[in-house]
This record gives sequence, C-alpha cells and structure tokens, in this order.
Amino acid sequence: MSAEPRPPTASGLSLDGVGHDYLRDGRPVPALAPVSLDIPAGQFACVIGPSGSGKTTLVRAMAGLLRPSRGTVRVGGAPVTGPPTGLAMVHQEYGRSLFPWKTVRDNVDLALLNSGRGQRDRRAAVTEALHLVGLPDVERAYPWQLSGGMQQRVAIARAVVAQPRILLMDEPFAAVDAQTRADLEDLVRDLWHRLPLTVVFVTHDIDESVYLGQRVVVLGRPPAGVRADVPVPLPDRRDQVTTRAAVEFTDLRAELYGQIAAAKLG
Amino acid sequence: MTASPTVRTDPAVDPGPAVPAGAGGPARWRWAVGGTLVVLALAELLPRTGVLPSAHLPPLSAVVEALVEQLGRPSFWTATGQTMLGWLVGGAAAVLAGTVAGFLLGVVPAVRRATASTLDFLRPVPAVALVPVAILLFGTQLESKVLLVVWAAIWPVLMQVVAGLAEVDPVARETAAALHLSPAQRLRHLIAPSVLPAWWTGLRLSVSVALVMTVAAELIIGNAGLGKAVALAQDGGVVPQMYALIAVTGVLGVIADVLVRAAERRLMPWHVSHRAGIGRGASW
Amino acid sequence: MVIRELPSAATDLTEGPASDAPPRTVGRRRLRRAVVGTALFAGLPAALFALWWALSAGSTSFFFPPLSRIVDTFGTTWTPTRIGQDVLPSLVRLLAGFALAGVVGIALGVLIGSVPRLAWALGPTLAFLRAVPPPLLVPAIMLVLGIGDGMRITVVAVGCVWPVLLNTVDGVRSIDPLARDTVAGLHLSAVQRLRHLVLPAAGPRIAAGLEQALSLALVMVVISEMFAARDGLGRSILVFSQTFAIPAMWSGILLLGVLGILLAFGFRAVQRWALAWWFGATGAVR
Ligand SMILES: Nc1ncnc2c1ncn2[C@@H]1O[C@H](COP(=O)(O)OP(=O)(O)OP(=O)(O)O)[C@@H](O)[C@H]1O
Ligand SMILES: [Mg+2]
Repeated sequence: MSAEPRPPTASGLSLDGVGHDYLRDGRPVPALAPVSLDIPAGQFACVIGPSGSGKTTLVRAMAGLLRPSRGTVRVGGAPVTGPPTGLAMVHQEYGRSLFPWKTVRDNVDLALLNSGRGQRDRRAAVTEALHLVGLPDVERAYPWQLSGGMQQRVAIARAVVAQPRILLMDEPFAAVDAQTRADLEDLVRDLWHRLPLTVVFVTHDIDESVYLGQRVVVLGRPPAGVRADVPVPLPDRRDQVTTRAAVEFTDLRAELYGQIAAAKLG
Repeated sequence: MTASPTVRTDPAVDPGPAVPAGAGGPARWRWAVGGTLVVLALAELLPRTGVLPSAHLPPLSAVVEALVEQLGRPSFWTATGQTMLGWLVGGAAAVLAGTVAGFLLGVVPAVRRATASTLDFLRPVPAVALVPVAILLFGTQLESKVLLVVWAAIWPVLMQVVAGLAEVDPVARETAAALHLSPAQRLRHLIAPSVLPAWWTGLRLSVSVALVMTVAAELIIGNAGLGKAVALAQDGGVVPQMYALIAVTGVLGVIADVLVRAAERRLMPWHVSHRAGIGRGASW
Repeated sequence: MVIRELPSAATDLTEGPASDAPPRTVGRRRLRRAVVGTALFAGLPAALFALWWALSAGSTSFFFPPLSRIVDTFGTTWTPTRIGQDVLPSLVRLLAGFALAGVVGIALGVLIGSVPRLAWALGPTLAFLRAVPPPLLVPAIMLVLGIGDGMRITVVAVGCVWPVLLNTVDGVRSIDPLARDTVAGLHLSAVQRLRHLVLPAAGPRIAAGLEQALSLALVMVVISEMFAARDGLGRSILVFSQTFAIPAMWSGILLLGVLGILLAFGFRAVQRWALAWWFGATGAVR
C-alpha cells in the first residue's frame, strides 16, 4: 500500500459558491447554502452534516446530475454542466441503483458500454473489478440474489470498473449491518490506495468520516454553509480496532460531535 | 410484495434539470388545455381541408351539430337509458358475484390453490363466444346483454379479490392470531381492509369492461341501446350522427371513471389507485 | 467479509431456497411436489368436465345437447379445411393487429412517457379515447376501410393499442429516478438507454398491457367477424346458431374458448421467459 503523494492521474474538484434552492409549489426552498471547497486530486474527503443539510444535493451537483442555482463546480478545472466523464457515483440505495434485469456482470459492464473497448477486454475488466471488491464467482447471479453488502460491493465495482478519477459516495453504507459496514469501509480505503482516485464520501456517521477521511467537512443546514473543515491527523494506515481507539480519533470525534450539535441547532 | 410491478417514486429525489421547473403546477394545465385545443382544431381542419376523407371522417363541427341534434331527440335518450340499464344491471351483478366468488375461492388457501387453474382456464374464454347462446336463450332482450356483461366483467373483481386475499400480509395474520381475534373480527379488521384496495382496482376495471360489453352486445346482437344506434347510423350512412353516438359512449365511460375515482379518494384516501399488474389484467 | 451465503445463485436460478434435507429424500420430495402440483392444476378442471359430461349425458334439451355429442360434432365440424378457411385467417388477423398495436403502443408510450409536456398535452385526449368502447370502432373503421383484412387488422390494432400505450406510459414514467441517475453518469446514447434501462424497467408494465391487449384482440376479431359477417370464426359460430345447428354452435364456442386459453397460456410462457428477472426479483423479496 502506497502512502501519499497520490498518483497524478486523479482529478481535483473545486466548488465556488455552490448553493441550491428547490422549487416547491413555485417557491424556492433553500437546500444548500453556498459552499466553496477545494478538493485536491487524490484526496479522501468526507462530508458530514445533519439530515437536511443538503449533502445529497451537494453530491448531485458535483456529479452533474443537478444544476445548482448558484455557483460553479469544476472537475479538473473544467466547469461541470452535465455528468463529467471520469466521475463515478455510488448511491446509498444499492437496491435501486443496480438493475434487477441484468446479471451482476452486465450491471458492472454497463459502465463500459461506451468505453470503446472490445467484448473480451470488457469481460476481463469486469472480472477484475469484481475481484477487487472481493466478489469473485457471482458474475452470473442477479443482484437480487445477493445480500445487501454484496450488492453494495457490486455497485462499487461498477463505479470503479471504468477507472474513474473521482469517486462520489452518498451514504453508501447506511443500509448495511455493522460488520459488513466495517468491511466495506476498509474496502473503500483499500481501493483508494490502489487506484488513482479522489474520493468524496458523504455520511451521517461521524466515526465513519474520521476513520475514512483525510479531511472532514461539516455542513450545516441553510443558511449555514460549511461549518467546519478539519484535517484528520491520523496515520495513513488505519485499522478498525486500533485507529478507533487512538487519542487523535476520539478527540476529533468529540470535536465533530460538538460541531454537528451546533449545526442542528443553527 | 404484491403481484403488480413494484413502482417506487421517491419525492425526496430531485428529478433533475431535465424536468421543467414547477412540474405538475400551472404549466401542466396550460399544456393540457393547449394540447386539447390543438387536437380539436386538427379534428376540424384535417377533414375540412381534405387531408382526411370528410365523407367518412367528418369535421368536428359536423359531429357536434349532429350531437346537439341528437340531444333533442327522445329516441337518443331512450337508447342512452337502455345502454346505462344494461351496464348498471350487468356491472352490478358482475361486481357482486365476483366479490362473493372471490371470497369463497380465495379465503381458504387450499381452496385457492385447487381452483386457481380452473380460473385460469375460464378467464380467457371470451365473452363474445357466448353471443350465440345469449341470442338463442334471450333474443334481443335485456338478459342477453347482461349475460355477456356478467361473464366479461366478473373477472377483474374476482381475480383482484383472490389475489388480494393471497397477499394479506402473513405478519398481519399472525398478529391477528396472537390477539385471539374471532373469525368475524379477523374478516372485519384484517382481511377486508387488506383486500379493499385490490377490490377497488377490480371494480374500476369491471365497470369499464361492463360498458364495453354492453355496447358490443347491442352492436352484434341488436339489443336496444347506443351500440345498436351506432350500427343503424352507420347502416343509414348518417356518418356525423354515428360519431356523435360513439363520442357519447366515450363520455359515459369518462364520467364513470371519474365517479369511481372520486369515490375512491373519499373512501380510501391512502390508496393511490394502481392499474392491474401482471396476471391480474382485465380480460373480455 | 461476506455475511450471507448465496442461496442458490448462479448455479441454479430456477430452484427456490436450497433445502437442507439430505440428497436422498430430495428426489422423492420433488416427485411428491410434482404430483401434488399436477393434481392441483388438473384436478378441478377435469372434475368439472366430467361433471358436465355426466349431467348432460341424457339431455334432451334442444339448446343444451350432451357434451358427448358436442365433442363428436367438434371433430366433424372443425375439419382441417374448415380450420384453414375459418380459423387460420382469424388468427392471422388477430396476431397482425396485436403486433401492430404492440409496436405502435410501445413506441408512442415510450415517447409520451419520456416527454412530460407531451403527456400533459395529450392527457385529456387519451383519457377520452381510452374510454370509447373499442367495439364501436368496428362500424366506423368499416366505413373508412370497407370489409377486408385491412379493416379487421385495423380494428384489432386500434382497439388493442390503448392498454399497451397507457401501461407503457405508466411504466416509463415510474422508472426509478435513481436508475435514471445511474444511467445519466454513463453517457449512453438514446438507443442504449432504451435498451438497457427504459424497456426493461417498464417491461413488467408493458407486459401487463400486452396481456390485456391480447385478450381484447380475440374479442375484437370475433366482433368484427360477427358484425361485418363475411368470413371467419365469428361468422361461422353466428351462422350455426342462426341455422339452429346447436351442437356445431357449441363446438364453435368450445373452440373459441380453447383459442382464448391457448393465447393466454402462450403469452404467459413468453412472459415468464422474457421477464424471468422480474419474477425472480419480486419472488425473492416476497
Ligand atoms: N427534489 C426536491 N424537491 C424539493 N426539496 C428537496 C428536494 N430534494 C431535497 N429537498 C430538500 O432540500 C433539503 C436538503 O436535502 P438533501 O437531500 O440534500 O439533504 P441531506 O443532507 O442529503 O439529508 P439526509 O442526510 O437526510 O440524506 C431538505 O430540506 C429537503 O427537504
Ligand atoms: Mg441525503
């Protein structure tokens, strides 16, 4: 496992005053207060915030799935106007983002449809991606024949198979049990180490954000924007038992708890 | 899970920039009114300018004129009344019989399994197959119409009730057992409320099937009613009148659907009416 | 690591959850299940048929002849020539009209379902047209197209298009927004989106529409043949009853019933094959 610096092929993300209002019955409802952030290439950034603070809105703006009412998202310097190439997303609800009419293999292969690569090449890439997420031998199964944790692994395989430079994850592990969640967290860290990736990881879970990230961004409900943006002073090599017991971990966790509590009030 | 395709809509997920802002708001109505006006204008202009053969497809204004003229005729109202009578009698009989039969066949799982294939064999037998029998037995009386209507319209309600009973949540069943409910209480508090939404879907389908079969009978058997009036108008070459009568039956169908939906909203505000899913569709 | 084992995935997708019984008894259990299944499937229909046979055996009623006579007449009435003249043309019209309705209904349905403004603009018109009883189209279309195969196929197609169209619209509109998001990031072409997302996602709904359309198609063909009585199965049955050839009439009714059943069962077989994923997915959650 290599430590920083990251390989140079990952792309950075920058947000310049990105805010959004939804229209409800013709009236604007503020969902995301203007956020300015710079996520350098290769960084693992976590975003936390209370429910309704606009985390999903923010990720969808980054993914080009939503045109924010204000501000600009840039990927690798270029403004985002639609889903950018080289960016992949993993949703919280794996059950809905995998297609039940496709086998696991075809679900993953979907990301390669327009890659211009040949059938055999694609097949090999799919197999490799499934190996990478620890899922050999289920290529011909359907997603609904797998457990929740396995389905989320398939979704991750689909996200990384096309070798994206940015991986966005919106509360990807909220719906799996604790043990599976720990496994998947280590999987994501491992993938990030192995591949040239910038990761933006949204979560409800303060512990998860500290355990995973190099940096934690705390979002507040509108009109508050970014309430805190703190580096994670933990070593690159992390471990479910020792890392979570480290003093730096518990200190930062306590601090973030305070921030979130304040964010909920404000 | 129900037997109908799962349909998930998540209001918290933004439909994205592809959908115009204010979706479903006033824009929707503007488009509906505008679109309908365009359709009406085309119905007038295409025959008038000769793009469509106006002898067979008369312009809208001619149809409206014929309609107005019809509205002043007692024979039109008699025919409408006769159609509505067949529709109502046949539809009511079908819904009643379908509900009772559905409960009898569906409430006991063993009976349900034993009769499933029989229903599968009987349901696809088209009502029009009974036309000769209906003619022989009842001629052009009301009964022949009702026979066809009942055969066709019984299935949606029956199948929905059976399927609804099959789906009464096992957890709810166990809860009821744990609470020591009597069979009557179980029926009232557990089974009936669970089956009601499916029953209502069946009712809506049955009502529309019943209208279809009523006019079909009038058309081919010759029972008095709008269907026969359409056949006569076609035979006599009074084309605008024929279309006017066809339009009237369409309006009857729309009114019935609106009424059933309105009643549904009042009786079961929680039930977003769903169309029939796989294996539960109407059959004629 | 992985918490749950695959029940039987990948190896045998048709079986239910693996049984934990030792392999020796599995075969016997499967056999018993097959026997019980067959008994449940064929038992009651066979009993009812036997009952009809027995009850009608001594019948002297003119309208309700013994079933044995109906069956005898069936053989002499529906000779291969007659089937070729009467039944096959009806079937061909039915299938042609049904196919036309399917193609047009799905194409228009996808279009209307994908463009909200189009759905809004055409909503009232579609609601009205759908409410017009399809049999009434027979006289109107006959006026325009005369009495021929073209008229009959059109009658079937126009009558059957509504269930397909409306179900397709519904199916397309209720595609999970998250599924659309998933595909949005993949930069698919319109055709690819149709093939990999829209058609499969709306598939169960489309199939429900097609199923309704198929049973309606049989009715429409027969009505068109009974109304404009020139040829076809519908006309034959009507003529039998008008000439009081009662056993032949009943044999025709029987034939229509069998056709309906064959069409329905055939459709279901195709559906089970084409939508295997759907039956599997919903069965798994059940
Ligand atoms: N499509 C929409 N239309 C209208 N309002 C919306 C829509 N989507 C989200 N909102 C509103 O925007 C605000 C932010 O929503 P968002 O989903 O981004 O929050 P979140 O931080 O992801 O919450 P959670 O942690 O519960 O997922 C909420 O108040 C929500 O009600
Ligand atoms: Mg969210």
